[in-house]
Amino acid sequence: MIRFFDIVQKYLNDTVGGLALSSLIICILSGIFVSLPYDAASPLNSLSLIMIDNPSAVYFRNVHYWSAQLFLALTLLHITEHLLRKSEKLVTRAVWWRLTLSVPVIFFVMISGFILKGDADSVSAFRVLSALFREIPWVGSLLSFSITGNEPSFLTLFMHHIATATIIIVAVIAEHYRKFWPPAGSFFLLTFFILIISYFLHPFFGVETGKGPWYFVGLQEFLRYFSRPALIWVLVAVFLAGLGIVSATGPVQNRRIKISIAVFFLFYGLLTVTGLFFRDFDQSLRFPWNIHDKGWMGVAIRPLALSVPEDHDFSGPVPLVNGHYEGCLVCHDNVKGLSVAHDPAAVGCSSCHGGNPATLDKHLAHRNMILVPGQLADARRSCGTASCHPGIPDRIEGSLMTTMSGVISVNRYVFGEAATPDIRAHVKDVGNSAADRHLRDLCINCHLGNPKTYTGPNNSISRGGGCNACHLHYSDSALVSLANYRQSATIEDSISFYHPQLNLKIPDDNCFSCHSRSGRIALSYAGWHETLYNDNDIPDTGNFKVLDDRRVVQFVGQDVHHKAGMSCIDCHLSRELMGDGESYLHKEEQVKIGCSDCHFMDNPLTLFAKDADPESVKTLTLRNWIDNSLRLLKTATGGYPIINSRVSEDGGAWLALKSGDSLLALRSPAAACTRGKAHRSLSCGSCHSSWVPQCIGCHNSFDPDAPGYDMLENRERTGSWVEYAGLFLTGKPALGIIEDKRGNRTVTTFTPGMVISIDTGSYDQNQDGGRIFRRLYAPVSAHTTVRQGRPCRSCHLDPLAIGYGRGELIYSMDRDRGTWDFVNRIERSPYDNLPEDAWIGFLEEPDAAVSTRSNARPFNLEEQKSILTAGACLECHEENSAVMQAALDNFDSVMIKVSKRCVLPVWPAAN
Amino acid sequence: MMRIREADGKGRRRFILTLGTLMLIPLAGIWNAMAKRAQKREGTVKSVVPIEDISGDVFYAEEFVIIRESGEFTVYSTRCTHLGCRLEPAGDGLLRCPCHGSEFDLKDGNIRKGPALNPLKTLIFTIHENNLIIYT
Repeated sequence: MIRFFDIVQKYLNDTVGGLALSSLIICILSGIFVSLPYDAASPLNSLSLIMIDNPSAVYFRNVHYWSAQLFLALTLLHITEHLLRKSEKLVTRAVWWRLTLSVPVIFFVMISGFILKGDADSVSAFRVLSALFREIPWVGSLLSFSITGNEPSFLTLFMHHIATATIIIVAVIAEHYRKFWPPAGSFFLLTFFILIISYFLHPFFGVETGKGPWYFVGLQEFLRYFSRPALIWVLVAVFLAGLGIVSATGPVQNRRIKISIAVFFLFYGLLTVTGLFFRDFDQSLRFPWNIHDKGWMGVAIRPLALSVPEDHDFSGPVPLVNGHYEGCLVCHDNVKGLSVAHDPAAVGCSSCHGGNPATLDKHLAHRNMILVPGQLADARRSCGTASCHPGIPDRIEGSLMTTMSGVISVNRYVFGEAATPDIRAHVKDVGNSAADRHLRDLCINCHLGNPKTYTGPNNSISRGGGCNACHLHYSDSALVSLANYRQSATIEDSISFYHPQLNLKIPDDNCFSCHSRSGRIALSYAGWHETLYNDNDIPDTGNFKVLDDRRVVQFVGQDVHHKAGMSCIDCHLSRELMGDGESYLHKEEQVKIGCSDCHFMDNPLTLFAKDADPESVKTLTLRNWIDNSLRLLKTATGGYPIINSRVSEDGGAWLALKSGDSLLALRSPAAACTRGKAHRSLSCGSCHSSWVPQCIGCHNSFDPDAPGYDMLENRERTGSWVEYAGLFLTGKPALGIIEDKRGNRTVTTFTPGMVISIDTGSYDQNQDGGRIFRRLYAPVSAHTTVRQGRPCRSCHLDPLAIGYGRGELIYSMDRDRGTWDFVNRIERSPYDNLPEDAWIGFLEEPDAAVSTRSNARPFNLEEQKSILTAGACLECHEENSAVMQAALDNFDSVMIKVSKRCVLPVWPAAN
Repeated sequence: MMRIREADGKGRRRFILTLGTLMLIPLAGIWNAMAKRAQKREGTVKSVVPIEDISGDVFYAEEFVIIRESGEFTVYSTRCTHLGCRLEPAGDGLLRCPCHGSEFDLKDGNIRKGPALNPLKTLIFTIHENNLIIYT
């Protein structure tokens, strides 16, 4: 290394120390110019104005910055040179001590310069510095006040930066160098170098990185592990003491001290590298190529425009947003279409899109900009900041729409990789097992964390997008603007246009893309059933249409709520969709709304709107619905207000559509719904769901050569699970039981969740020839509600409802003995000899779990017998007969009084 | 004579240095008094937050965060108790320090992760005419 210093001396006719002095002189001179427009009482705004409005001042700032960095670097090199050459003995001890003590003054002038830019990182640095001074016993508070002063003014610090510290440094250097002016040649060479790099290299300003300046990043890393920051001063004192006494020690001690200093610098250097290159914005350690926020380098490379471009020249005031200058609005001054809450005049552009609002240079302004904000990956820095929607990203991250916990755990259960379907899972933990690869290949992109990488409205092929998945809305004008921009991409099209909105009007189309898959509830709700037809092979008869993704759907019958004009969000609450802070295993746990919340009998659960939770009150206010006398319904589960409900004083209730102005009257259930004991445990859907999609007979195998797409990592790859569809049918839902934790049982609707065979051997060579067959039914909320409940026969005499599959239940009466028999319509599976569409065998109980839920099951034998006994009655008695009506009230008491003429079923003996 | 002059010179120098050092003590005392008086004048900052603006269980401001639980308010300073950096929401009901990584639980202000040793500072506030008046 001494050779390097020799080369510098030889070619520049100056020492590294002389070069440091040259840097200092340039720094002082440029600092004079920078300080002219600077306002220490309002540092951030004054510097922002400089950056936006005064390119020439920006140049001086760059010169000041780079000369300062060079001064520090060259000073450290010069100290190293002194120690290596052992030239500390050439100065008197007093001078060496003054030089030693000037080292912290140099670091102080550097850090004060960093703080004086006034952005978020600067404020943090200010607080840390003040706090460190206060840690000094007895005099800490005095030192903190005297050296840094108090927020929000940086005047004290500014004064020390431009005067106190600078004077001390100049005085010490002059004494040491014995002259003030460096050699002209090296001075002008260095000046030329700084002038050139200042033209191209721009230190960042206004972008929060969470990191201090490069020379203190090592200290920042160090402080992570130090709960007693006062010890830092001990280390500083030891270092200075070591450096100071090195001029007065003998050769052995001298060598030891220098080795210690070298080890210290090596350790500090490692900490600096860690902090600069391996520490992400969220404080986690990552490899540099995985760092999410690349803004840490703090430097942009771009030629500086030294005059304001003609088309950006403006004489008016620079727009102020929330008290800070927003350069974005100088160019993007004609953005229309956003709601009042997101008006650029109120929130600016950078609060959502990031970038750098403190410049008019397009490339610098757009650096690290977020094209599509609101993704879950950056929601906390765009939508979810403390000033805007804090807390909501937390809720969304726990929501099933983010975690996909149920989908993942059930899939693993089906593949035999989990013992139950109730494991808590998260999409970010999906690996490459057979089950997880199956998800990656076929369906895992339906989670809110999936990024939206393109501009444009959501459509039926969209997946994910964070907040945009629901709240993004393109008006007609915004669509025209987007089309114009994509076509011509002129400057005018990009800076003067209709911006898409983020609002509360969430159309069903936004839900459709993901919820038209799996249980197909978005399709069912609108009345459509997915078929296996190709889009070029559609039958002439029947009502078909082709979706954007080329699936062919057929109209079967829409939900009565859809027919009335209700959209998904007219029922489903924000606490369900965005989460309530809890994490759930399956969707039915996260859903809060129930039929009886709106279709109540006598005494609805209500609350006054003004007493609702603050978020609901805010939403009501935004919708102009708030009223002191407004009374709302609330859910039985969780007590959440149904903000689009209305309850009058006489007990009448209505639902206001969120997408329009209609008001729908809420009807109470019919008497038949709640009379008696027989159907007390039935869910509303058991009777009022008209149909469900039923998919059976699917086969899955892995093709290692098939072109595949990893839906989690969004990349193409070779090899994919392929699903061969069996039958896509529609029919009335099967019924089964769900038991809650208290043992209460509810009869509800089910559909084939997985009647499927899987060729596991095709994926895992260790399972050559391995094959899984599963027959699992899933609880489903069909979303095909009809006003008229299903007739008695449709359950008691329908084998599909009981779980036997399609076919015919035949009741044979032989004198006083009746026997039931079942003839299946769909062929039996070779795996278990049950009909392909069956859940259970006729009058059988399964000997293994047959549901995608641990707490769900088909009817047991006694329940089947009870249903079929009522069915036997229906063979002779009409549904509306007195006997059957009495049976609704109390079936057991009717059976006690049964007539001798009745032929009741006799059951086969148990095996 | 020369030796006497040299001895006098060193003695004068020592005397001046000693006197100068001793003069620093009262000067330090005056400096300390000046600083204390100036700091006292700066006083306490009051922030006023209308209660109707507090939508949700957590309300963030620059210098503090208001927690509402069962109708009761608690106000915490958003300054890290380690070295004073401004804390930021970090998910899972936590506040995180962007400087050195300390994490605090919003439920009770306690530390979840160091290097901070002390929980969040609770700020004094009063309620007056539907406004929360917070003293920072």
